Amino acid sequence: MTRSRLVAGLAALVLMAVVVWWIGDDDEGAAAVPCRPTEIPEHDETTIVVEGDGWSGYAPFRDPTLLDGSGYTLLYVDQVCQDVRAADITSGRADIAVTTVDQYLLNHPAGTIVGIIDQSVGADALVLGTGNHPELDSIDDIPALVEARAEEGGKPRLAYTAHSPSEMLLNELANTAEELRLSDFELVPVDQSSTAYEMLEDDDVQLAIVWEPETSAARAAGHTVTLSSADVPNSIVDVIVASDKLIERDPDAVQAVVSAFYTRMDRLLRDRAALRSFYATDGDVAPEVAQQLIDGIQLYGTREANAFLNNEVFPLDTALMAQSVESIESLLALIHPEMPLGRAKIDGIYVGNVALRASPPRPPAPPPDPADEEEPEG
Amino acid sequence: MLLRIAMALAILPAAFFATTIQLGVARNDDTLETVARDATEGITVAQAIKLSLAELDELVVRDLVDDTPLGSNGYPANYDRKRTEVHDNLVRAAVQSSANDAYVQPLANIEYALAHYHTLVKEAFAADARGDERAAVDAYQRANQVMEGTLFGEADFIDKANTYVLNDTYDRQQARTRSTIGLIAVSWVGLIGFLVVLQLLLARAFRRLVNPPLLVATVLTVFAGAFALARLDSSAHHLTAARLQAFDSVQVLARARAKVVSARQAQGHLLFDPGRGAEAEAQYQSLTEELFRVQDRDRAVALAQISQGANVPEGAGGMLAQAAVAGANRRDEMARRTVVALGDFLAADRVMRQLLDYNQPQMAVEHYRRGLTFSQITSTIAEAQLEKQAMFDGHARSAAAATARLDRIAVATAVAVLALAGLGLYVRLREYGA
Repeated sequence: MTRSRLVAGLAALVLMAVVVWWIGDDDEGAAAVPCRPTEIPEHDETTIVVEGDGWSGYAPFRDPTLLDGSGYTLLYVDQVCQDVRAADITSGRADIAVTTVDQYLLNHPAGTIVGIIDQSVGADALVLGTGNHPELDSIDDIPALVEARAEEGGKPRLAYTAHSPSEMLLNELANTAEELRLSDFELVPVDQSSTAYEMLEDDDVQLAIVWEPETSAARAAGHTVTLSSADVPNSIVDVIVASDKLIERDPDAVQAVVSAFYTRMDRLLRDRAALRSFYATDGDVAPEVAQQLIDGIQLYGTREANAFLNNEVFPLDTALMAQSVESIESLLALIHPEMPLGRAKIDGIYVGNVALRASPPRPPAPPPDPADEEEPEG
Repeated sequence: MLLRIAMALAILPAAFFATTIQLGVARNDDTLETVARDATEGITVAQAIKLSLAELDELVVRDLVDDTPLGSNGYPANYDRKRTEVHDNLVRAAVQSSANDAYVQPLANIEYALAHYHTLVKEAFAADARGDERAAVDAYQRANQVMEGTLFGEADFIDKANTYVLNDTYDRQQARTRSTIGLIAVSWVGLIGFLVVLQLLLARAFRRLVNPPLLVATVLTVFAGAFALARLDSSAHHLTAARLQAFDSVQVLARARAKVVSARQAQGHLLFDPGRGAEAEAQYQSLTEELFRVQDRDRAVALAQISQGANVPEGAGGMLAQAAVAGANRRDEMARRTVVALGDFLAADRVMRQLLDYNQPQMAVEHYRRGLTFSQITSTIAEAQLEKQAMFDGHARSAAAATARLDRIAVATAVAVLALAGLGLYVRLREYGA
């Protein structure tokens, strides 16, 4: 009797476990990419730790001399995992994170957007593996590829970097371009853009979402850049996020970083050859490839950044940064309904200060013309 | 004692079987609710907003070209009617949308920017009425920038938000259907296995070949499980057809219709402001490329061949091409007619531009005013949309009908199986007791 009950009980438990596992086994989402906190060397109070990844737009932050003369030193740490980057900002391990607005909103660090770095206008892109499949050189060739693979009982493979702006771009493109339907592809989440590009080169995937410098490298290797961030404007905006702890502890440090960044950008934007050379060195690419890279990024100097963060723009009469955050947040709320809204913090005062210092002093007002000061008649 | 335990244990597989079918039906109904109603209706309203905005802008430029008389409020009567339509569509969208920010913010932005648009348009009409052409051109140019730079973007955002929901729900439904059908199959086989084992045990213990109530319960289970799986599969099949064969075309045709209206607006804008010839030409080309394009050959030649009955060539792209190859054998006759109508629309545009080139602006305006090919293409697209919408509705109804009352049937079956199993065991218990 006892044995029978035990068997019956065990059978019921096993059955329940199977049901729970099966019901919960719906998520075919991205495979988890292992993320570990990066080693940050010992440093003193005047060292500002900046975390970012290999995106070309972050190049100025990878220059250890960026803060020279400001009384602070810069320590750039590579952290490809956006959630860890956000956690480091919240905990105070990092002082500044360079990231995209969508990742800032998704991972919600205890930090404030204090500047815009760039907008991707073609630098993030969907690349077709034309190098391995010469017939695949247009977005309009995708239906034929899908059909051919379906006849073989499979789907074309598409690699993208999981939990990154590439994922955002993929979703954006899939929901705006009629030619791209995600269910037509076997999606392959990878850890970074260079991995996606290697898989494309090896014909392990037929399509890949990459970002610069891989976009330019893919173009140079004979692959076709078909859709890109230029087709979904304002979807990938790179920003400077300052940790709230740093803002509270040492706002001058935040000002130093913002000032140094925009001073550097102003100098580079004035000298196109220096700009090309700077990004060529950072990406380890030829100058002509660097030019393509720059063409795919809208860079911001002091004036443009100040306008983006602080000027109210017709016809919506709000600043473009606020519009951008609202728009991206609205979209993310659809994919992540659990994500609370309205948590983004933007502070344009640091950029405003730089703009104020950069603007040429107004000429003194001319002395009043005595002729203008005639007594009115009567 | 063993018989009593068996009676108690019979509840488990029967309840499991009924629960899995309930789960399958509930998931199916959820998906139907979203895919066949919420998201698709949301997309339809979003596209109605985009279309009415495009029509509003096209109407303004047409009224400016035609010097349409203004009402006492400073707008022509047809403008007032059209802006009422835009407003009604915004209200419909607000009523249908959830409180999600994805819908609320763009609707609020449209309302806000539309006020600026109306003001600029009023300025343009007023300047045109007093003969100040330069001021009218400038004011309309600014209004058009508000329309194309902000209002279209916000309307597209609502469309995109609904498309996100539709695609996401549909993709999840595909995964869920696979797992739920697998789960139902496991519970079905489990219940049949339990009944068969029980039958065998009873046969061994009581030396009776067959227990009739248990046999009936087993047969009932076999039929009920097969029926449930077939109905769920049929529902999923109809949903797939509704989504992929019908609604994709409805959506793409609706977008195409708004593009055609914008192309017409670009024509009118060129006539109203001939100074922006190159810009208007580029805009027109870009819009019509989104409708239909071919690789490595002349588009006009391809369109002429299609009008002679040829299929849309492989590798052709654009919204109308996509709809035209969506049917069986890569040919949808009704949608193919929209491509033919586009060929006529483009040919008429070439004539209008030639008249301008030959310095015959008045004749070009007359040609534009007739707008026969424009009426033709918009009505053809509308017909194709209606046909596809009817197909979508039919599939959606069939998908819902396939699983109607399936949950109740599953419960009734489980209760009947339990009762029959209990009866079979009870008969043996009585015999054993006697």
